[in-house]
Amino acid sequence: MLKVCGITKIYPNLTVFRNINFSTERGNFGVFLGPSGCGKSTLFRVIAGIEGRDSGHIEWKGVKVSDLKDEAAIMLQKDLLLPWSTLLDNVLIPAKVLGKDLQRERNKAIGLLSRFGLSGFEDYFPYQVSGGMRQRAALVRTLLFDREILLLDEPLSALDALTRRLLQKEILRIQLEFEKTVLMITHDIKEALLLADRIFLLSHLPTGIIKEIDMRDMPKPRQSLGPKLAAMEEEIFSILRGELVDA
Amino acid sequence: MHRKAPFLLITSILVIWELLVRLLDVPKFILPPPSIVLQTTLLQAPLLAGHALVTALEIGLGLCLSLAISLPLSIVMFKHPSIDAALTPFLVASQAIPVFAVAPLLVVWFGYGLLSKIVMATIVIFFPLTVSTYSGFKQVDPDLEIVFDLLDAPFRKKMRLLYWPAALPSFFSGLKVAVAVATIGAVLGEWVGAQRGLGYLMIQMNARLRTDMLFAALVWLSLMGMGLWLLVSRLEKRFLFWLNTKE
Repeated sequence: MLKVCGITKIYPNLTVFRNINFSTERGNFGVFLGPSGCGKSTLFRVIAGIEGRDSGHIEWKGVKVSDLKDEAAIMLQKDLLLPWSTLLDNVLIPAKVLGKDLQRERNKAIGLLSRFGLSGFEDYFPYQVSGGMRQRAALVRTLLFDREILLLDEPLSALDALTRRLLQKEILRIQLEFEKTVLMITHDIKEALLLADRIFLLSHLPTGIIKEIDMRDMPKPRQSLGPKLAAMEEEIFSILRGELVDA
Repeated sequence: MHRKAPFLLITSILVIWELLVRLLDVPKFILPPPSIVLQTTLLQAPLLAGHALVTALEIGLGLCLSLAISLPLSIVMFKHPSIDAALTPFLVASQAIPVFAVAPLLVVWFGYGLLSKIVMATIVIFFPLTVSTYSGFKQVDPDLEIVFDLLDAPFRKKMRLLYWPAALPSFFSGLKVAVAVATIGAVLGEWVGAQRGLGYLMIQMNARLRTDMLFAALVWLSLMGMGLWLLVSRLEKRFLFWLNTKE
């Protein structure tokens, strides 16, 4: 169980969010859905320990932790690949930094790259491959962090619709095959409905969770929006529309 | 067309120069025509090469010494902002002191041999090198640091994998300025007091009104400067292959 309790972040002139509470089971997929510019990214950065917070605490597996720095890997809309390193070297950054056995990690990385459709591209540089391939590499790198929690901040927003659908499947694979606990930010309602075990709807600044939708009873993978999901899409949109008008 | 432009320009300047000198009957010791300069440059090549070698050695060793000072210095300044704050005023002030004024002192301290010229060249070079490398470190995309921060990467590893490669473009532009001004430092040192070197040769020939030799020395000096520049440009292309290929 991942529990986030009463997290607050205040900048000098701006309350980004106050008293955020949510929890999700281990191995589940939580999706945060909200209008852009609503402080979702800051929420992730605070949880990940990249930025400080003003109050609140986090529990992971029943133990209080200061942040998820040692538990989580993060992936952003930007691929965050080093432009001067090959895809393989990029994927191996965690191994290099943590001083792991490089030969073993190398084999592991090559295996994972090929499982995510990058076989033969190990020695390509980021500028030589497409945006979708770069995000696949970034995804493989988050796996090689060897962390149980993945924080995905709009990982697919910069991709075209087709690539996006393919990568949604890959992200789902990561949750199910690799047994990761995933938290993802998106502003695509359909994406949320296809992937999520729980959806948290967020308000405009100061950000708060206005509604939580439990989707655990719907089996995955969900191929497309059936009548039930389509109705939910409308419902979610009408809730979020209120936030957009405020914005 | 762009490749031919410099040759066209230099040829037309030389032709005009030659014509003017001959038409106006300017004495050779005031301004020798390019044809005579070229003649001297080639005929006196053995003599010139001997002196050029000394100057080249001074520049080369000056560059090595500057690198040995600038790189550690910029890394220390980047790692410790307090050291940066303490040193910056002195670094800037050091550049306000004209090297011409210090040159005689350096000869007194370090003698008529190579060392005083190497120190002279170093004084001229280390500043652009330090500043450019340091600002290269500071321009690193903070998002890229997230990957390393999540891994709690020690500074040493961040430097090797992230900061140093990211600073390379800036480092190389500093190095280009450095090699362009390095000649000034070495020649200036030779003017003040030396037994060999192109600068020394120029002073000697100036005293004997051998203006053609003076120009020949300048030609060799320029060729050396251009050679160094080309070498650095080569290295730059080789190491920054990932830079000019952005989408």
